[in-house]
Amino acid sequence: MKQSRDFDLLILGGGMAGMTAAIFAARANLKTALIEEHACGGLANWTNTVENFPSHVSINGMELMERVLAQVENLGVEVDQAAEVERLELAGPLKEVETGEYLYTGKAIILATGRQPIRLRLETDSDRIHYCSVCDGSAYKGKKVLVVGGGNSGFDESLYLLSLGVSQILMVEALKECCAAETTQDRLRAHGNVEIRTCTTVTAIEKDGQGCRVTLKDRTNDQSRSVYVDGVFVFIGQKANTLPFRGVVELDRYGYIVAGPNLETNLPGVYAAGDVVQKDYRYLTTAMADGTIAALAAEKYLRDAPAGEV
Amino acid sequence: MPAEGIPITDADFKEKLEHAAGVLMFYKKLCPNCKALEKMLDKFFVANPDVPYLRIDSEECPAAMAAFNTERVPTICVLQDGKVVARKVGLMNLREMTEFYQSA
Ligand SMILES: Cc1cc2nc3c(=O)[nH]c(=O)nc-3n(C[C@H](O)[C@H](O)[C@H](O)COP(=O)(O)OP(=O)(O)OC[C@H]3O[C@@H](n4cnc5c(N)ncnc54)[C@H](O)[C@@H]3O)c2cc1C
Repeated sequence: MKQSRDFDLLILGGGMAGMTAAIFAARANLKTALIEEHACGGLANWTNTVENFPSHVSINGMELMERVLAQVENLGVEVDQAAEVERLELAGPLKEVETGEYLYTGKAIILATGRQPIRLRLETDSDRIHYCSVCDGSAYKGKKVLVVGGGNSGFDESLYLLSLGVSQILMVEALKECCAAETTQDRLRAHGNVEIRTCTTVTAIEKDGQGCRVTLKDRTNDQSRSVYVDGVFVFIGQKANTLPFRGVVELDRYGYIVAGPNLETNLPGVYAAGDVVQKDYRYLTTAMADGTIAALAAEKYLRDAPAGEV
Repeated sequence: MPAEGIPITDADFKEKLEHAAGVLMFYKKLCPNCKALEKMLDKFFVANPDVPYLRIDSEECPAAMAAFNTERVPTICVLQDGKVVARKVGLMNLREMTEFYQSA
């Protein structure tokens, strides 16, 4: 039997949305637990510099999130990181989250599980495919890499890889044009050792000595060609972390949670916040707004519920 | 409680690791996967308080990285008498880490 831990409010996911919700819930005197699969901070931990966060002209993403976590912990929120969720019960009046170690119960829950990078869908024997340039970029000093994806992440991460000493970057983008911000594109294009090919997709990657052989397809004429690179970095967007909620919480066709104006889901006492919600704009500031609203709505739900019902 | 670990540097890795046993982690300060792995290790060392925890900052210790033939972070090695008997690059959850350590 796992040890049971009982709370007013459970929050699943410790990114900006979940941690903001925790701050508002704790200040509303709700006994709150925040359950995080990896480390608190979420996607912002992967962002080298955040330059659109009011109050900071420029700040490292991980540093920003460490400050938010300190505030959450200071308010007495129970924070459980590296917690693997094994079972969820969301439909009944008492919400349950069973992790590898504990059984958490709450009268309400906020789902703030965010998004994760989309993986390349290719069968390959290569171990040179990466999704984190901070983690793996240093291994490619003086080497040539392929960057897949011409969005903001692809351009930002390419600039970071160059700063680590990567000697040559080939970037491919499936669309006709790269959609990254013009200023970032200009900064990368100013480097002589960067080649960008649009209308180009990766169709195969095979291990080749210390590096890999990549097959690229030109979508304008369906011609394929093969290039050797030392490693591949993939930045082709994000997908919602909603697999555990499928079939229980209403999702849109892309897997995002459908929520009302107060971030209520189809289930009573279940709220959603942040990037995981179906919406047009996904930023730290919009995640904070969601976290605020979801926490206040959950607090009202608990306050209004007839005694003994939740 | 965060597990502190014993910091190992380029200056002392030869001497300190020569006959070392335990878990050695190569990390980088601002690496998100290293941070996630550290949170898992906090739990691992609560469950295994007798296992020594050694840490090498990859950016500050290029010689140790080269000596252990390690380029990527996070990398976890299990050491027995100074020898690497198991090695894993990337994320692991607590269950996987426990199995990895026990089967080393
Ligand atoms: C490369 C990149 C750069 C960006 N730069 C900026 C920027 O400069 N400015 C800006 O405003 N926005 C930026 N964004 C967007 C911003 O990071 C997101 O909008 C924000 O992080 C969303 O916060 P969130 O809490 O909703 O989700 P996330 O940050 O994704 O956090 C969700 C958390 O939930 C956890 N989780 C997932 N599943 C589970 C589960 N089953 N159980 C428990 N926990 C779980 C995850 O581990 C994660 O920690 C950037 C995004 C990317 C990818």
